Amino acid sequence: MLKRAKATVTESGEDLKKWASQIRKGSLAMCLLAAIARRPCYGFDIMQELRDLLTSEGTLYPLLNRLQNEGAIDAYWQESASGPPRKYYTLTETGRETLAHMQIEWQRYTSAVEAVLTGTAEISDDSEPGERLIVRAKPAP
Amino acid sequence: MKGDLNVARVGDGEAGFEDYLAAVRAGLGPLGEGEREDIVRELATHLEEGLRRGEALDAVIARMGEPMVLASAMLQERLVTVERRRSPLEMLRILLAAVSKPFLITMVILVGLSTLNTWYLFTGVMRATDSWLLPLALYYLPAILVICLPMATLAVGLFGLPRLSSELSRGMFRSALPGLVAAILLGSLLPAGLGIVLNDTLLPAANRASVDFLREQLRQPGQDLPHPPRSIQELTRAEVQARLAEETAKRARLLASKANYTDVAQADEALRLITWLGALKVSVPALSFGMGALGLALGLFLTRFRPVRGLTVGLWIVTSSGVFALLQWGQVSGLPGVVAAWLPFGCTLVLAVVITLIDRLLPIRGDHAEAC
Repeated sequence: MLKRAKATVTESGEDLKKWASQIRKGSLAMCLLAAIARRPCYGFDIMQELRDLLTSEGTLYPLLNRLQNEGAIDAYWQESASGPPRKYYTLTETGRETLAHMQIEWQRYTSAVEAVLTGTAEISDDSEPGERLIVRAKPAP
Repeated sequence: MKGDLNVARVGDGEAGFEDYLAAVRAGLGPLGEGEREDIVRELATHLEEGLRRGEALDAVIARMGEPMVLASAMLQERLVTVERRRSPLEMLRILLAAVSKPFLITMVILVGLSTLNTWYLFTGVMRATDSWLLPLALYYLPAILVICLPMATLAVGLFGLPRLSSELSRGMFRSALPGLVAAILLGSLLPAGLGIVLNDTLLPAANRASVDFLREQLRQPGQDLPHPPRSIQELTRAEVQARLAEETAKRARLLASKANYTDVAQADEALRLITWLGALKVSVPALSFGMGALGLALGLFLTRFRPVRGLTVGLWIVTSSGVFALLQWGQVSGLPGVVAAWLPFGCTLVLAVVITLIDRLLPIRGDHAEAC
């Protein structure tokens, strides 16, 4: 019985880790673009800034690669006074637009989640049976 | 590039550092050299940066994750984005490019062999030799090559010399061993199976032409032979029509050459060989086709059912099978045989050259290999 309880706790912990990892993964591209939007950054630099969001540092470079292939960021090599040459990333015009859209979506999403968590959400009752309920934050008094 | 960081990499750490980068480099094999080195260089900078800040190499490497996992993720991201950005015209061009080089190599060799074969048949060399091995080898060598060459070139394109193959071929598989297995299966068994089935079902005209040619030869047994063997004449009148109706163009041609044999024992030996080949010919298509179907299923599974790769595989099969069928068509004896041997090969060679030229003239958009 004790073993089963321990197993359940462990499974629950694993599920929680997966869930947290998925949340981080979903928002990582936006955070990465936001970091680069502030100033040109190189890989290690970005990693330092996003350390809490990265499950592994190895996930950073594939993501940078993808964003570069999609035209959201651009890259150039530059000599460094304190070490080896670094590959710096900058945001392109497409990247700026993408980031703006992402931020709007993020605001909507977090507001809705926050409203549900704090019990301030209103659930629309005009949805058809079987459809997903629409949750909105109540307007502030 | 390394600056004062070399101090941190002296000793055991340097081996680990280089080993890690070498493993990533190996995992990025399908990418172009420029792109691969750019990625490796950036990772090296990352590791060196960590060392410079006083972190242990093991810790930095552990945070980066397994080199093969990292390389695989880089490849995945790159392939997905490149495929997503391609226009239909570009996709078509890439599909053509994927088969052009192996196809061209195959066709050049086949045309050469076809020429040799034709020359061999119609210049009397066959009559000057007693060996049946040479004509048989000349007959089957193109068939063997048409199976092996696409397989070999595809395998090289996938794993060995990326620059010799097209970009799409390079990106078809991500891991070495399953990819190699799939390449062997897709590159050999399926074209072989389909080609043999096509040969046996769609080319009866070739057989009929060969039989007519043989009949003509056997009606004039004394033309080239001072003492035509009696058994051959009997075979001609009583049995040859029934037997040859079941024979393929290959066997018919061998029988035609047998009409010039001066030794009855030699002729009988040839007949036994022909019978054996007939039995083999019945069993090979079924086996090859079954294995080919298995190869297709496995290949699609290994390529994760990506549509572009699936189309490439499909085009590859059609091309290889078509070449195989054309090869068989070219085995008709007599003057029509010469024309039939040259015309399709000539046309396909021209097509291959055109495809290769298109491949050269239109660079792939979004390919960062050259840019880097």
